[in-house]
Amino acid sequence: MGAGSDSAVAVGWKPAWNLRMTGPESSAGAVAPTDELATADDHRLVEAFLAGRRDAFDVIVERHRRHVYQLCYRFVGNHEDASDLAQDVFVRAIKGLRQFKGQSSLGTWLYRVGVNACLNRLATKRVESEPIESSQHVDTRGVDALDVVLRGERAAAVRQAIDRLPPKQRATLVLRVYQELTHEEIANVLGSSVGAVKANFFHALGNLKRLLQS
Amino acid sequence: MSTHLRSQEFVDALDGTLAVDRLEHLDGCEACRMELAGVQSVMTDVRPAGAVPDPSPLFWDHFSERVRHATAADPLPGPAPWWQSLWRPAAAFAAVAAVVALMLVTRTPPREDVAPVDQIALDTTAADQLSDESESSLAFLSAAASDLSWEEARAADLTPRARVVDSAIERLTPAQRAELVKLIREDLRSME
Repeated sequence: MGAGSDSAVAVGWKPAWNLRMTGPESSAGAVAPTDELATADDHRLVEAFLAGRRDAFDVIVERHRRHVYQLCYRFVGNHEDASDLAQDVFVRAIKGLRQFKGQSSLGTWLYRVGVNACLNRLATKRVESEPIESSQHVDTRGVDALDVVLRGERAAAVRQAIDRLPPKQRATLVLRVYQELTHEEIANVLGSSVGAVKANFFHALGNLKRLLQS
Repeated sequence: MSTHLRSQEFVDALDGTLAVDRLEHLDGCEACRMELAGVQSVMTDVRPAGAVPDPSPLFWDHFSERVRHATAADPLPGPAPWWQSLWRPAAAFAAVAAVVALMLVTRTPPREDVAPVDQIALDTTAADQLSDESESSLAFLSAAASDLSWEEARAADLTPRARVVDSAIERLTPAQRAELVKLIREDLRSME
């Protein structure tokens, strides 16, 4: 999701902003909910949960857990912290779901909870990013080994540079480039204006450029 | 030459949503093109660096179980308490009441050191009556009181109230006022 292409970005480049967290995630589910809940949209699930159906929240978790985990991983850079944080996001969500008014999508609301949890974690605890095997996420077919290694090293350098960005720029970059949210959705998540989101994004790229050159 | 692209416009350029007139500037501005090429280059590096290792398929079931366990102690949400649905109307009512009270306070005239309201009403009535009285009535009163001293008149409660005198003086023409001053002076001189 979001990291599949490394082709040059040209003017007019458009990311595949087709991610919407409303569809059921294909995964071997935990407890099979009723068919009615399994196919219900997010707002219906929230209504069902608020009406007292705990299994509706199970569907919400199953549907959004991968995106929430990936968001957390991109902030902390290791599986253990990411899974703990993702769990914390859903624990916070179940406590705060009554405050969800449906003005944004449930996915955007969960991102907001997730970003707050991640930024709080980063502010209170230094997390160690785990190295990602360079061959693990690069298509090596037809590519020589040296190129694979170089790409891996470059990606590691970029991740380290992203870790050094100011929190809001980092959140904006992660949400835009990796989570593939629109500027409007990011503004909703971060509680800022679209203009501020764009400015943050531009400054994040500018800072990354300087960090990678130094 | 138009101004250089702002930071937001560079992002629009990356997204391919830059306005036409700004695209024209971009085409003719070497500095903006260089800046845009720089952020495009960074984007090329950033995108593949966001790969997240996919956990084991077993992890997701385990994760859901962890969340279920962690939230099991939380009570299921029931219907919202009655006061939660009433606080907005109550707050609105309180705000309206406060505004009305404020308006009433600010519209009340400042308190003056004046006679009680009933006294003012009586005095005003007396002044009106005085102004309406005919010359003959005044002549009658003047004749009836001419034999009385000031002390006797005060004892008989025939002396006018202060506000009535003030009101009567205010109604005099300049010539009448001059005549009144003249009479008072003569009276004072005779008392000496």
